[in-house]
Amino acid sequence: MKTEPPALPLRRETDLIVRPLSDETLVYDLARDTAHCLNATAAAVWCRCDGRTGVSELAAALRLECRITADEDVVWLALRQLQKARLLQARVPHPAVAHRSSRRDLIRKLGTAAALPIVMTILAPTARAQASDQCTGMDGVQRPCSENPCPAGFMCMQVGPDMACGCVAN
Amino acid sequence: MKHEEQGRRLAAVLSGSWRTVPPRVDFEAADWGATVERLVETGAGGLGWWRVRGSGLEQLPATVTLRDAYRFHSIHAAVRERQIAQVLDRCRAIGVRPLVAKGWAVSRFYPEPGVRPYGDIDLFVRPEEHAAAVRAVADFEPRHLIDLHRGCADLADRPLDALFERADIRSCGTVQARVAGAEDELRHVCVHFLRHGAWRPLWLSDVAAIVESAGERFDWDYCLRGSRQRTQAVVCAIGLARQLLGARIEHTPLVAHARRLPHWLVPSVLSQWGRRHELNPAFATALRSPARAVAALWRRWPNPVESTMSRRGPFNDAPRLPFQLADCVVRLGDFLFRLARPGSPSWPQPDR
Repeated sequence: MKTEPPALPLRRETDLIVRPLSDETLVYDLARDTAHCLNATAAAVWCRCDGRTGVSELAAALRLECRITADEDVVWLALRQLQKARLLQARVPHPAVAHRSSRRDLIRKLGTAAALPIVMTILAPTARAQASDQCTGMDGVQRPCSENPCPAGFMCMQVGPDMACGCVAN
Repeated sequence: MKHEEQGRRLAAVLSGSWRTVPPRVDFEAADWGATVERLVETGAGGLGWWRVRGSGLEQLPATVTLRDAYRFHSIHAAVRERQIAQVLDRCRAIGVRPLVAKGWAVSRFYPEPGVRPYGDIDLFVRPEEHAAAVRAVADFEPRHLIDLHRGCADLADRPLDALFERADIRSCGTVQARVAGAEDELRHVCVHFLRHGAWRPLWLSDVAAIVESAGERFDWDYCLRGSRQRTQAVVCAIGLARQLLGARIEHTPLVAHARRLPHWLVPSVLSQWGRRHELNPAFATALRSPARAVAALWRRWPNPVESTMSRRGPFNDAPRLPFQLADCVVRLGDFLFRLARPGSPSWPQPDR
């Protein structure tokens, strides 16, 4: 009978900026220009994904560090989300024989939804400007957005992930 | 009046929000959804979260938006800091040492990067170094983030050399960055806030944060030196920070002056804060019909604060209408001048 190799997840380390906050960890993916927020459980799993630690050891570490009654299902839930956010180096195959618990099952096991691992993508707030009172028009000149001389059919708006201003088609 | 009320709600949330331990939440959550929306729109979402976290308001559904803004600004600050270091490296390689201004520089007066967001990278360079600096960052991506200023227009009433000589050094990732000294920074944020019509409450919290951080070594004489009109503007901005955001100014020599604000100033600022700022289509596109032109002019009618600044008027109790009219005429003239130049991007294209 063929046995599957143990899953040894490895976290991505390149092109990432990590900023820990008091109760969560923020990760910016420079390659994809996306930001993620990992709650304490997900961050605890991610930090230990060193390519040498197996799923059962990760679960044990969670029990110890986060003081939750985590089992392998909790770790798998975290890994699935980390994988989806492309924060792991390679895909970690879920063992075919393993039972995939639902979130509801896991909340029942953990006793609280707050302990569930969560990886969420952070979207830009609809700030009309983190800043700039100035923006670059099609003529390459910077000036207040309200005065930006866009040609007919265009209007000055903030564009792009950096909230820069520019002339965009009406 | 409706705008003023909304502005007052924003002021209540932001009161003391720049402090490491903000004051206890003592305001009602009336129209909380709209308040949150305005905070986020004006870039003060992170500050709003800093103020209300741990209070009863934290549990309200709308507050999630503030927390998300705080998260976004926190991680973006790290990204931006990396980019600033890269830009400074490029400048240093050609012997240019710019001053980092506004957003990143001002964020040092706040307890955390996530509460004071910044978008672009503002750099002051000496005029004679400007061309070289432009070349140095020409192929930096994203280029539109970098705003290279020839000197500092808001501090044009004082010698540029003094601004550079009094600069502070601050670590920015792996490099040392030069930022304006606290006195210059305060004068700059005050003038900048009013010159732009006081529309962002975040800019007034910058004023408050710097004033409260001013210790015994803060040189108030130097800070208040320069053109009389701009110094008046500085005093008014500090007075607004005290009156609207509860900034502590007892340790400053401005206690008496900052209490006497022109009667039109506070309502004007509150009404700016409470109003949604729609992005205006290019004025040239409105010229096709008189009705649209009038509507476009109305939308662009300058507020009393910015017209006082742009016409270099005194901050006193005299009516503001003359300054507003003068400002409007000057802008219109400038627009028509640009329009008259064939090939100008403002030139209205015929309908297809």
